[in-house]
Amino acid sequence: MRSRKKKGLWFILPSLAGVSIFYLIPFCDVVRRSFARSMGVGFAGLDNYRKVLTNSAFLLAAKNTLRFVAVCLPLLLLLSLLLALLLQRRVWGRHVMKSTYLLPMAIPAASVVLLWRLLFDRQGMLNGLLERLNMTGVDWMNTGMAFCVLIFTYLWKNLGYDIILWSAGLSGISESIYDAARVDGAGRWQNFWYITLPNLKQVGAAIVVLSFLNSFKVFREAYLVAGNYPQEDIYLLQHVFNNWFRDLSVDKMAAGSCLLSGIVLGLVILLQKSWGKEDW
Amino acid sequence: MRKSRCGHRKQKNIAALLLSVILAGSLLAGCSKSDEDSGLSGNTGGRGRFVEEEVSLPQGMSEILTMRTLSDGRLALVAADEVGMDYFLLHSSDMGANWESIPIRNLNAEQIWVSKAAIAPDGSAALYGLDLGGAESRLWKVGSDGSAKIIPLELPEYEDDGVSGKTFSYQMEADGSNPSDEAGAGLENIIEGTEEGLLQNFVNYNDIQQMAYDEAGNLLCLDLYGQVYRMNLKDGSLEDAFALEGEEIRYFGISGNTFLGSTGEELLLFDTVSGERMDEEPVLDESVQSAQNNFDGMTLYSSASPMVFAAEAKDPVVYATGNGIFSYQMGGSVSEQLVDGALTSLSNPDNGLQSITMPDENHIFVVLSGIDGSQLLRFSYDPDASAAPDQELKIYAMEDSMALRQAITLFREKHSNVYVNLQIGLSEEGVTREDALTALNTDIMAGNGPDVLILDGMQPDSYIEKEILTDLSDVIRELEEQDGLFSGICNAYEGENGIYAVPTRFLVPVAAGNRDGVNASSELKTLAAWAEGQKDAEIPVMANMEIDKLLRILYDSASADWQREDGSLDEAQLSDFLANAKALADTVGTAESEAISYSSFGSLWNSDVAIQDSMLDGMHLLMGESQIELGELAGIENFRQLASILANTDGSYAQSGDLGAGTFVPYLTVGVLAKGNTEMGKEFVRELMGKDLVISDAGFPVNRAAYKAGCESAMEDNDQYSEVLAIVDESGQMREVKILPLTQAQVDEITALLENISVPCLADETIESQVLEQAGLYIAGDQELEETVGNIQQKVDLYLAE
Repeated sequence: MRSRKKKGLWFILPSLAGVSIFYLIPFCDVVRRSFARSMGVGFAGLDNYRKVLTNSAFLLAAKNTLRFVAVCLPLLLLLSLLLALLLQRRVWGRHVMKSTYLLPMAIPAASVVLLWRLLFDRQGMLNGLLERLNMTGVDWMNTGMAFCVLIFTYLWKNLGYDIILWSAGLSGISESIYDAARVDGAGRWQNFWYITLPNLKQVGAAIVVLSFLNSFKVFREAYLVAGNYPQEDIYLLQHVFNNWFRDLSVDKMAAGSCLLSGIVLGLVILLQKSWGKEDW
Repeated sequence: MRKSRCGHRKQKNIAALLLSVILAGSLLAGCSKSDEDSGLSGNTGGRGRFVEEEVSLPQGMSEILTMRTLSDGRLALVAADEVGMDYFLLHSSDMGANWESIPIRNLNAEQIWVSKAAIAPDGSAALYGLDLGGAESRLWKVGSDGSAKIIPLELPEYEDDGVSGKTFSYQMEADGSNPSDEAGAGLENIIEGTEEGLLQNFVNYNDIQQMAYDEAGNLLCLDLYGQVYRMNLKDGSLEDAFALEGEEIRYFGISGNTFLGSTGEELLLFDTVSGERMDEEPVLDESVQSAQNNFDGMTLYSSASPMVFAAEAKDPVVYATGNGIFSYQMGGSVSEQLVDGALTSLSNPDNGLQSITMPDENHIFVVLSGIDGSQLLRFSYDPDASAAPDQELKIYAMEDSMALRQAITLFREKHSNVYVNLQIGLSEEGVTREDALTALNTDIMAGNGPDVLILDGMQPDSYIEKEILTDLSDVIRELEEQDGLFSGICNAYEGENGIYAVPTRFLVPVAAGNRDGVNASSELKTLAAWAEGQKDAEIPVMANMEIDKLLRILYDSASADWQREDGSLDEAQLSDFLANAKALADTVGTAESEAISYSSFGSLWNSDVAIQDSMLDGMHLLMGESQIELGELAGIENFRQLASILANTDGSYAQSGDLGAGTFVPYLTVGVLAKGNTEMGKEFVRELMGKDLVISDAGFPVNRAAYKAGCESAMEDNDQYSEVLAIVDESGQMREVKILPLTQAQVDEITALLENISVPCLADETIESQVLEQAGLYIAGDQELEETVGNIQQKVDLYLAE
């Protein structure tokens, strides 16, 4: 047993070295810089953290990011679970549907952006359609609707992935448990509540973390569609970091990164605790 | 059995260990830094290098037409004096230390202009040019004693004229007559062409592009249509030299008895004696393509080639491109670099390659031609010189600039031990400003940043605030005492602790043309009101003005005082700007003759690409299609041309902008990184701001001595020739204006205008791009004024809050 563990350690070593070299050690430098002045020279104490926490752009971006996660995450989890359950049944064309849901992941971001521009431009196809229906067009990207477009983008892009993950979880539940429950007189809802959901707990935790992390990637689309300074509702934390990097505000960037890492770590620990340690 | 299992396990362990080491190794392999881009790589410790020096020509010589090593080992040149009216054969037996000058006699013409020349191995020569008196092309055979004889020559005619519809400048006689009216010769610099055109004067026109002798004494020439002929100097008859099979040669070189003709993409090789085609040389083809790419971005001179060959070198072939001097063994797989172009004047975009010769293995001579005449360079092998310079100076700029490159050349001349590494952020297609900035900042943070930063297109304040730049006050003070500076410009970025960024050149927003319009241009509001009143006028206020360009020019002239103390934009001023810009944009008309195609001032005067778009384009004024033109004056030559156009059209000019006067557009703003090679960085700034950097139309220099030198040159009255700017439309109609020397009064007037300038336009890339993007939407009618102002404010506020 001890020998097997040793062998496993050898195999894990390269990727651990990679993670250490490319993430952990650089992050230590980020922590150091968060207490240093602009170019990493001179001790600044908590000054950078104070600057970041009083920076209105950072606060706006944090608020938007939080709002985005709060709206998107439950929506994505519920919707993908619902569709996964639907696909679990022997409905017609489910194989085609499975591949269709994965299609958005295969489309490069640049193509998606082009499509979004065509669709959501003031003179775009969506407004053209609305006009045909005698409805007033909307400036999708320069009003509060930009937030809805961003949510739609996130759901559209990640739905397929989460469906696959839920489906994997669902297929792991033995059919005999359901059979036994049915023999005991359990209905469809009771099956779902007492058998399906508890058995999906482990995979659910992984999906939540993955979806949460994926929610940060929506910046790519937001940036490509609306640039560095988009409509203020879709101004996310990544916009701030990106612009700080452009302005070489390494001090603020480092402090902001530490704060964000702390929050993400805290959330993951919280999730871990609420789900129970044995499920991880 | 147990032993065997144990051994098996051991093997597995070793395999696992090996695998993990390989994986870790492959991960780390990506981290190694390649040094191949650095000129210091490789042989830093070695000795021996060809060292460049300029060879002075005999007194009064200005232009070298050709050069070669004679069969007796002497170096021979055909050169012209400064006026360009007397020609000489020059010989040197001591590698250019002393020259024997033989005047070429009996050219039998009152005024001749020789454009092409070739020297035979025995020292005789052939000249081709224009007899200005008779307006005819002439070919002369010149003996080694300098006696010339006219040879009758008739070049083949072609249906395609090749020059119609083009804008060109040429020399005209002092009385105003046009020497090229009849023969069409004298087109010295064809600047830009159009596909169509019917300029009748030039139909069937042909000319000789290049002439050269091979080792056997055959004279080969290339005509305008890419055909190569063997020329008989006894009777001037021509015969096709080679079977080109439809290929057109752009330029050629001779190496012994081998003809090397470039199509721009490959080299066609022929034996000049037998006329037979030789095997392809893929290595040389690669050099041709690389040289062509390099050449396409350079200043155009008719006598310059992307690639020149040493005629006396047989095998190996010796050739030069902007990348350096190379030696290539025929049939080989690689060219040996003898001289690195990046370390020498060969890479100067202001100079084109004209000739090369290699009299012996320790000496190479190269002739470069530029706007100020020719330059003869000698590369002598110094076994004691370090193989590569021991220091490196990294210069970073978003966009390339001729002034920058010229400053690099001046710097190199004084610091041969420093390798100058110029990095251009936007050099590759598809790279955005954002990408380039990210890459630059990554390098700076990693400690691999440049030593000198050209801050155009960046945000100087953010680099100053982060204490990345060093104080340049000492350099400014020194230059102020030495040459004098336009201090209002130099101190634009002065902070409490010093001057960390300095605009080395600047542009001035002006309006030119109709006097009423120009008077109204002191404020955007009055200009817009005047323009609206002219909507129904026969001549449009501004013809064919692109809205993006108009907005950029208006932004430069009006943005200087938009910012409040807290950095935010004044909403009322922004709103007024947008409303007035729209009113003005609505008056932009279309010229009647839309098909007219001509170059802007920018391309005509070889200005930097970065400023070409906003430079004042007086062409519509010259054609009588616009009442006024808005743009930016980019130098004293630019002003001279404008003054000449205004003198012809009874117009005036004035600085435009809401400040009335005083606004300027900073250009080539330089900063030196505090953690880099600051000493050399400051030395480079001295060159960039120095009086020796005299370059026209790359912005006015902040150095008063350089400015004065430019003014003096623009005031020089050449008795015999003056420059003419001409435009030909597709109907064949020609408009021309004689470019007159500036008068003292004109120089005083523009100098007074420059003296009053001290406020930079709002040169913040982020604010500018947001304003221009939103303003474009507003002018196109996609959004309302209030919405536009709101959008700009929201984005700029976010930017400022960061």
